[in-house]
Amino acid sequence: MSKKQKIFSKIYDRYIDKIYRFIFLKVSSQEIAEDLCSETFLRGWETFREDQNKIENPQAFLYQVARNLVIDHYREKGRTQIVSADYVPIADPRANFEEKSFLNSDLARIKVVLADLKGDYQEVIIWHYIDDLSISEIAKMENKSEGAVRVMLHRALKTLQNNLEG
Amino acid sequence: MTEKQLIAKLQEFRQIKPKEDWVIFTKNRILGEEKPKFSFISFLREIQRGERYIFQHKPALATVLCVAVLIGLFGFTQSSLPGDTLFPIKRIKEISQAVFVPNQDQSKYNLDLANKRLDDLTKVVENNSAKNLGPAINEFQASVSKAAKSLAGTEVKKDPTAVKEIALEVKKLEEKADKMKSLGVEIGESEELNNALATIYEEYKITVESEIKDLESRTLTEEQKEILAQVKEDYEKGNYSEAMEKILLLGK
Repeated sequence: MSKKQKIFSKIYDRYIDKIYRFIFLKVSSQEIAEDLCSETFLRGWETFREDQNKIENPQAFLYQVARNLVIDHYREKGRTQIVSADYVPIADPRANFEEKSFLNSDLARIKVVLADLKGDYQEVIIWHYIDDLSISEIAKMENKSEGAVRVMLHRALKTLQNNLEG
Repeated sequence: MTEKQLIAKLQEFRQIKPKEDWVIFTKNRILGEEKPKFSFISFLREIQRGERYIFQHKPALATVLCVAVLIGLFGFTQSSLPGDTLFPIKRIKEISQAVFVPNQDQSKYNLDLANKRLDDLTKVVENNSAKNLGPAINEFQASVSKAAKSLAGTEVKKDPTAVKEIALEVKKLEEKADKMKSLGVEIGESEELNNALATIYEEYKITVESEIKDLESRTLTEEQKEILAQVKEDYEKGNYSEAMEKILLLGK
């Protein structure tokens, strides 16, 4: 493995779960999340391979690519619930969280309401509460002040709470 | 729900993770296969070079042993299923064989692989093999997607044999999917594959239409007119590959 491959391999290992989760919470389909996630890292690798210095902040870069791919996906498919025709409805005995969560109606409901929030609110909630990014990291990624991020986070959480009660 | 409760619930989403097999598969696809830290091939090479003392003075025997082990390994992997340790070797063999498949036959080859993956999935379901189930599903889905992509790039405008072969492989997939139903498993249709096939059949239909129009404008012998009538009949019935075969008989 070349040096670049080794470095990117570490980036991949470090962020694959977060990026997959970020996309999954937005698209609510495992197959689509896998497709978009692999496309995200493929683009990341292509950019990295071309010029390592183009990616100053791999996390921010990958989230941005993932976000754009999700936007393109919805633009193409329309904002309708897509049930993949390729999905084989067999109960996987290693049933992972996504499948278990549908049995837990609270989480399933939160997931649906979260997916319906506007993009900014969704993202800031996912980044801070789920992916554990600090306010400072989010502010750098979004090129906003920490204060602005705090306000957005507060509003996002309030909106989610209200929509859940509504 | 209080804010604190909501945050606690949100944090439970941290458990969402991609499937391990998919993570490894995707990484290898993006970065290429990673060499294992211990390489059995390197080990055998070291034996051959005399760096392993056992065969220090018998390089010819070591080479023969290497080849025999590899052949044995490839043979042994034939029965391996997705999720088994030796399955990746089976895949490597299939990938290396694909290199020798001509471009025009790639679609058929990929559909054949999709059929093999469905056979693997069937065996897994029949054997009730829980550990292989997830990998078998992933492999099958990946193979169908690959077949669909190669079909999308296929040029079969005047090749009734190619279209027939493709149709045959698809029919096999459908028959096997029906068999899976009897095992209680529903194999959903693949939109990607259906779209690729629809495009091919549509292009093929248009080609046949155009050939028929051209033949109608020509002066034909009685025998040729009879064949043309059969071509039109096949076209009306949707048997485009049979129609094209007869068109080719007319020397087009």
